[in-house]
Amino acid sequence: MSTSGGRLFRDYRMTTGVLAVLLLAVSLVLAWQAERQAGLERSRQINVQAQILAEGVAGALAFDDRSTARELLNALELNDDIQAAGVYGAQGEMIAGYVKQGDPLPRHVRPHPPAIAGLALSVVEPVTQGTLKLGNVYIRATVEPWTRRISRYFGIGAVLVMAALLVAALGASYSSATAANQRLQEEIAAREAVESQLRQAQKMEAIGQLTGSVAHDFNNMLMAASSGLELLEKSADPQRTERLKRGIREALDRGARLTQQLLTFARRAPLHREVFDIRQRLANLSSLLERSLREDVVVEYDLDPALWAVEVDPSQFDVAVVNIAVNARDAMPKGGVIRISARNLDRAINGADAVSIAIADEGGGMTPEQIERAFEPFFTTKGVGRGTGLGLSQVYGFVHGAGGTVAIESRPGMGTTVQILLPRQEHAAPVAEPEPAIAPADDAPVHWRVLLVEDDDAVAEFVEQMLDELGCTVCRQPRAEDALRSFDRAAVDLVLSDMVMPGMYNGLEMARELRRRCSDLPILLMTGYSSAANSATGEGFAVLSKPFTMATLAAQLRELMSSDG
Amino acid sequence: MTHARALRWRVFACAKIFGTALVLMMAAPALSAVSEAEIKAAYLYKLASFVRWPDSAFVEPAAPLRICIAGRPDVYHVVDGLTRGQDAAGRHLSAESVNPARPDTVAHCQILYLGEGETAVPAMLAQIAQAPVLTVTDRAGGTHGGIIEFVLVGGNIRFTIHRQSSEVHQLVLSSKLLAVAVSVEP
Repeated sequence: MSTSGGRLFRDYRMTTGVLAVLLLAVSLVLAWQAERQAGLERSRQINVQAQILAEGVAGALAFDDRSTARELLNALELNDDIQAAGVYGAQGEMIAGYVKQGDPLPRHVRPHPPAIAGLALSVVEPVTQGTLKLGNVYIRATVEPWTRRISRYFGIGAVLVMAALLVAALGASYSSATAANQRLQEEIAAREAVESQLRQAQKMEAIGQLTGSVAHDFNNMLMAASSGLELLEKSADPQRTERLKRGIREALDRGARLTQQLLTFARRAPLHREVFDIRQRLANLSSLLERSLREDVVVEYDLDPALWAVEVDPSQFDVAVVNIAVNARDAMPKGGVIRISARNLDRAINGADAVSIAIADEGGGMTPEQIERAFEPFFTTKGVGRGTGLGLSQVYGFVHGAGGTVAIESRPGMGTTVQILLPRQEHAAPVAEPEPAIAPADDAPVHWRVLLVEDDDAVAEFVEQMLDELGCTVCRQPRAEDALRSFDRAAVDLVLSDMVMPGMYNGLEMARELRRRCSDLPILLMTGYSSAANSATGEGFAVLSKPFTMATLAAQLRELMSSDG
Repeated sequence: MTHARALRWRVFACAKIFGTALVLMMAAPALSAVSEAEIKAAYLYKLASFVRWPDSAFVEPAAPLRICIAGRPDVYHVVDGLTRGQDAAGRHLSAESVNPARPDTVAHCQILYLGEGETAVPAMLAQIAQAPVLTVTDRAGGTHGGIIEFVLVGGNIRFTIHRQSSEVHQLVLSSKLLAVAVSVEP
């Protein structure tokens, strides 16, 4: 980019330089041409003068009338351009002549057309009367002096030189402007990259703030699942077994939802404004917040059912809400309620309608000095290692970037409310696409031969059992290269593969290779990474998000097999 | 050569080279160097180029232009030498010596020079009357009445022109000829 830009502006500079030189060259050629024309014209004039003299002097030469010849020469002498003139007889002898300037007259002459010798233009014209050769006349004229010629061209020359300079100067300024623009573009790009990194860092910072709680919550779920399993093994009562299974299932579902939301939250996404419904967004975020804050912190929602739409970057919005919620959590070390309320406000931002999102806690509150400095980057009231002071500065940057305002209302001991006002977007938010309903499980057993590629033995074990349960015959390969080596189209109906695997190939590369070999082979890829899923769906592969249930797996397999075959 | 002389020489050289109005004149050739007969003969020869004759002046289209000389054998000889192999007005030139005693022989001449002291001049002029013949007489030699008459001016041979007479003889004289005449009589 910069090299091509550099070349570009070097090209501009070169082009204008060449143009300026061309302009000068053309003007020189024109001047030379004009000079040549003037020279020819002058030659013609002198030749005509010689012819007139030759005509006039014919009688005088024929009849030895020197006085007439001299009179004719005297008339010619009035012309200042003529340096010298002479009349010569038939034998070449001089009859009469004069020299005003320069060399003496030649002793003998021979007819010749106008010719320039030194600074003079001379011509010898024969004098004839019918066939009678009477002699010659000689005229020598000054070539137009340099001074006169230069003064003739000076005006136009000065204009041309100025024009060439102007062209060169314009070119130089244009190229420097182009270069400056180029630098500006590069700086903007660099700044955008840095800002994008900053946004991601802020997001990761928010997640970091949540990590302890998430781990705690996860432990609870694992605890529920493992103790449930333990009890299950010891229990023989079918009713109790059913209850325990349900409990394990719920704990696992919760864990799956949480990781899904963490992944979505942490996804690296370009800044992209879109119109959305805050209710919907907060609802999506709710389980992450609830699960990740702390168990002694309760989140309550009070959302106007008819909230207006806003147009901001959704992931920035999420990060802002999480940042404020984390601050609220930290303000309530002994637990409490975080109240998130949203409502419409008429003419709240400079007379324009706005949506207000207020997040209130029951914590210790803030002093006016703290409120004043709250949005400053790196300002924190938390202990060392507990906060970076970047949370509220992210909120401030996001809200102001969206054309809104943010305010803190707090008094020591009375809790804190952070209120965000975002400008109303007139266009309604697009209705969110409903989650594709999973088709009711088709219990009919299938008899597909599945090539399962999965490096994790535990996952492979479970998936194998699920497939077995569905009626499939499974052949498992732990590595992509093994799968490729042993692949036999005749023995495989479909391929189910993990995407992120150690080894020479990952799942996606293997899938590409298999598709290259057999374009009709149904391939289903499994992954827990949303970015990997995006790249696979971008290439047209079916993707199953981990973790998944048997019902989801069955539905995906049926859909794939029916569409492919 | 002293320093002063060298300087003077240089100044002179410069003046000679850059002089603004230096008129060079060839020394006039002394008349004695070229005889009177030669000059007159040359003039007669050159006159043919400055005069236009009507077609009726010639007996046939290819007829030569005759320059007839009466009474001056010396002039005749020079003219004869000059005209040999020469053309004028698209015709061959020929020189003829005419006998003054036989005026009828001049009828076919285009230029008739009547030399000195010819008593027969009036008879010959009468003979050609209004015929297209350029008659040249010589005052110095005592002949008069020609369209062109040689005169001596300041030691040089010049001529006068009688225009009316030329018109009578149906001749057209070049303005260049008129320009160098000593006088042009009406």
